[in-house]
Amino acid sequence: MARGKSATKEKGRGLVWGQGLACGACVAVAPIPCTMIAVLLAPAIFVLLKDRLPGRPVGRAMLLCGSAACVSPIVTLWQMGGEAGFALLSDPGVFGPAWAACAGGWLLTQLLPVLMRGIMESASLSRAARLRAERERLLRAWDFERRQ
Amino acid sequence: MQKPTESDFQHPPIGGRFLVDGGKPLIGAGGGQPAFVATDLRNARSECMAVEVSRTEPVRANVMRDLNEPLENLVVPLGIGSAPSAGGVPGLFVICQAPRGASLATIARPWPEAALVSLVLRPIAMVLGQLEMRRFTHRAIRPNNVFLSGPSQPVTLGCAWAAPPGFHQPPAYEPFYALMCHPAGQGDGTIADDVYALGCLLIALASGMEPLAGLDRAAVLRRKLELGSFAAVAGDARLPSLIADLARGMLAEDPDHRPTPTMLLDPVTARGRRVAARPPRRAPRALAVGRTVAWDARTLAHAVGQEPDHGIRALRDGSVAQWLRRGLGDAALCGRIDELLRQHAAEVREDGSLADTILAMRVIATLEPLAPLYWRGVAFWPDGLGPLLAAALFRKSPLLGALEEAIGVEAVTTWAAMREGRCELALLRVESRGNQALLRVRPPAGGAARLAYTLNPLLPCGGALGVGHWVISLDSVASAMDAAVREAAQPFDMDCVAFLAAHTTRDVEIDVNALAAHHGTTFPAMSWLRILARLQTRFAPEPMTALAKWLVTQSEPLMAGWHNRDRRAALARQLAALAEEGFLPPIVAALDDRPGLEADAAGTAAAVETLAHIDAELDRIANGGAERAALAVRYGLEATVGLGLIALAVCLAAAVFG
Repeated sequence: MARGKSATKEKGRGLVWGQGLACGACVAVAPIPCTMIAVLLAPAIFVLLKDRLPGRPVGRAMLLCGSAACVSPIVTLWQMGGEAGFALLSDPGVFGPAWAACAGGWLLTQLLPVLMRGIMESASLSRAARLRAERERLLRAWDFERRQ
Repeated sequence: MQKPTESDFQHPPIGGRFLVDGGKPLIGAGGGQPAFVATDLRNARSECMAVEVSRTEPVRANVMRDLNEPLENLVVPLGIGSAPSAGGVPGLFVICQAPRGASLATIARPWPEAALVSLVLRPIAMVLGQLEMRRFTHRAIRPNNVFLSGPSQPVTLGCAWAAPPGFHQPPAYEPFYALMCHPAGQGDGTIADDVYALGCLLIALASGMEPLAGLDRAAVLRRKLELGSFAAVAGDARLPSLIADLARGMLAEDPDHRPTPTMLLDPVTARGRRVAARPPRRAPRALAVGRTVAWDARTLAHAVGQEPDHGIRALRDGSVAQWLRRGLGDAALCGRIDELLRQHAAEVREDGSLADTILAMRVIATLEPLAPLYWRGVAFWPDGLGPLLAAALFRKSPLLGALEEAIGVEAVTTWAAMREGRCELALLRVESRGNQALLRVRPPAGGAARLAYTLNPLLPCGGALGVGHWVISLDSVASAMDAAVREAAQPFDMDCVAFLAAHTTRDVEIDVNALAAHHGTTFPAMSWLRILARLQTRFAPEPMTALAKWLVTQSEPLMAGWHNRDRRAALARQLAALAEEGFLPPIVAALDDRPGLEADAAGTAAAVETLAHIDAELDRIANGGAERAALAVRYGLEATVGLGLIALAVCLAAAVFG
C-alpha cells in the first residue's frame, strides 16, 4: 500500500516536471506570446496554484474561461507581430475582458453549486412528497393504521 | 264431522304426520298427564292423542326409539314433537293412539273374579310379556292409566312414555324398593315391577277401593315396611280367593319371587306357585335411627339411607352392631358390618363426609342387597340416574351437587360391587366410568348439563333456547334459535352448546367440539355459523333472517381478518345482502373464502414490503442533505468547467472560421 502511494507521488512529481519543462520550452521558443498569455491568465493561474480542491476545479474553470477570452488577443498578436505584444498588454480593452472572463469563471464556480443544490433539494422534496402520498395510500388501502 | 287439515293448525305436523289441537283436551286420557286431541294426517280414521311432557320429566327415549310397532291392548308411542298447547303456549307432546273408553279410576264397584281374570289380568299379562320380550317395562299401571273400551272388552294400558318410569305412579302401586327412590330416579326397573303394580290394580278392582288412599309416599313406605306389601295394600279388604292368592305372589318383596307375565296367563297355575320366601328376621326390640324405628335389617337399611348422619353415628357408637348381634341375632350380618367399619377406618380419605357417605352406601347394600343406591339421603337406581340428574339440573336442586359427587367417585360401581350377583357389574362399571369422565370435562363439553343431555336423549334443551321453545333434537335447533333471536333472546349459551355436544353428528362434530372447547370472551361466530348452516341445510331450508343478521353482526371480528379495506367493505355489503336473504351457507362461504384470504394475505405482504422500501427511501432523503450538498458542489464545479470548455471551443471556432 505504502509502495503504491509513493509510486503515485513519483508519477505526479514527474508530471509537474514535464509540465515545467514544456512551459520552459514554450517560453524559450515564443517568449512574447507566453508572457501575454501569462499576464492575461494571471488571476486564473494564481487561483489554480492556490486551489486545494481535488482536481482544482475552480482554477480549471477560471483557466478555461480566461482561455476563451485569450483567443482573440492571441490572434491579434499573431497578426500584428511580436512587437505589439507589450502594446496590447497595456491596453485595458485586452486584459480587461480576459480578467473579467476569469472572474466570470470564478463566479460560476460559486453560483453553479448553489444552483445545483437548489435543484437537487427541490427534486428530493418532490420525490419525498410522492413517496409519502404512496405510503398513505397503502396504509389506507390495507388498513395498517387501524392495526397499528 | 270433517277432519281438520294441516292448514287449520299453526304448527308444522309432528313427524310430518300429526297435528295437535291444544284447544281440545282429552280429560283423563293421559293417565294423569295433560292430553289433547291429535290428528293423523295419513290416517283420517285414526284417533290419536298428544300427551304433554313436562320439561323436568324426560321422556323415555329408549321406548320412543325402539317401540315402534303396534301392540294389542297397549298405547304405543307414535311420535314426539312440539306444538302449541292450551292457550297457544308451546309444548312438547308424545303422540299415541287415544285409548278408547274410560279409565278404571272412574269405576267404583268391585269387579267379579272372572272379569278381573279375563279382562284385566290376562290382557295386561299378555302386554307385559310382549314388553318383556322387547326388554321394556311399562311402569305406569294404575287405575287412571288403564282403560276399558266396553263392558266385556279387555283393558288397554295407557301411555307410560311421556315421563320417567313410575314417575306418576301412586305410592301404593310401586314396589318397596322403587318407593324408596326419588320419583325421577326409579329407572326402568324390571317387568316384575309391572307385575307388582298389576297385583295392586287387581286388589283395587277386586275390592272396589283405592289401596292406601290418602297416604303420602313416606306413609305408604312406612306401612309397607311394617306390614309387608300385600298386607299393606290389601288391608282388610275381602278379596276373591284366586285374586288374593295371585296378588300375594305378585306383591312379593323380592322381584325374583313374583310370577312372570307368562305365568300369569294361566292364573290357576300361577296361584298354585309358591315361592318359599324367608320372612325377614324381626328383632324383639327396636333400634331407633333418627326418626325411624327399625325392627328388621331392611328398615334399618332404609333408616341409614334416609338419615345417613344418624346412621353413621349409630354405626360408630356400636349400637347397630350390638342390635344386629343381640337384637336381630344375625352374627354373620354383624360381622360383615364390622368388616366394613374396619375397612372404613383403614381407608385414608381427605373428605370425611364423603367417606361416611360411602360407608353408609356400603352398609345399606350389605344390610339389604335389594335396596337401591343411597347417596346423601337420596335413593336411586343406576338406570334412573339420567332422569334424576335432569330433574335436579332443571329445578336447580341441591341434589345436583350430591349426584355430581356420586358420579365423580363412581358410587354406582362401588354399590354394584357390593351386590355383584344382582346386577351387571361390568356394564355398570363401564357406564359409571363414562359418566365420570364426561362430568370431569370442563363445561360445556362436559359437566352436569352435558351428562344430563347424554343420558336423556329426548331431554329438551334448556337455557335461553328452552324459554318458549322445545328443542329435543338437532333438527329444530336452527329454527328455534332463529325464533329466539327474533324474540331478542340470546340462545348461544352453555346449555345450548352442551345440548349440541350431546347430540352431535359426524358432519358437525368438528365445529361442535371447537365450540365446546371455546372458553374465551370472544364470540365463536365461525363455529356457530358452520353448525347452524349445516343444520339449516339438513333440516330447515327456509330463510332465517333474524338469525342470519345477528350472526353477521357478530362476525365483524372475522371480517377484520381481511386486510384490504375495499375488499372488506365489499364483503360487509355482501354479508348484509346475504343476511337479508336469511340463508347461512352462503354467509359461511363468503367468510370462509380461502383463496380470497390467501390473496389478501399475499397483497398484505407485498404492501408491507413496499412500505418498508418507501420508509427506507424517505429516511434516505431525510438524512441525505450533506451528501446532496457535496454532490451539488461537485456537479456545480464540473458544470462550470464544462461551460468554460464550451466557451473556449466557441471562441476557437470563431477565431478559426470567423
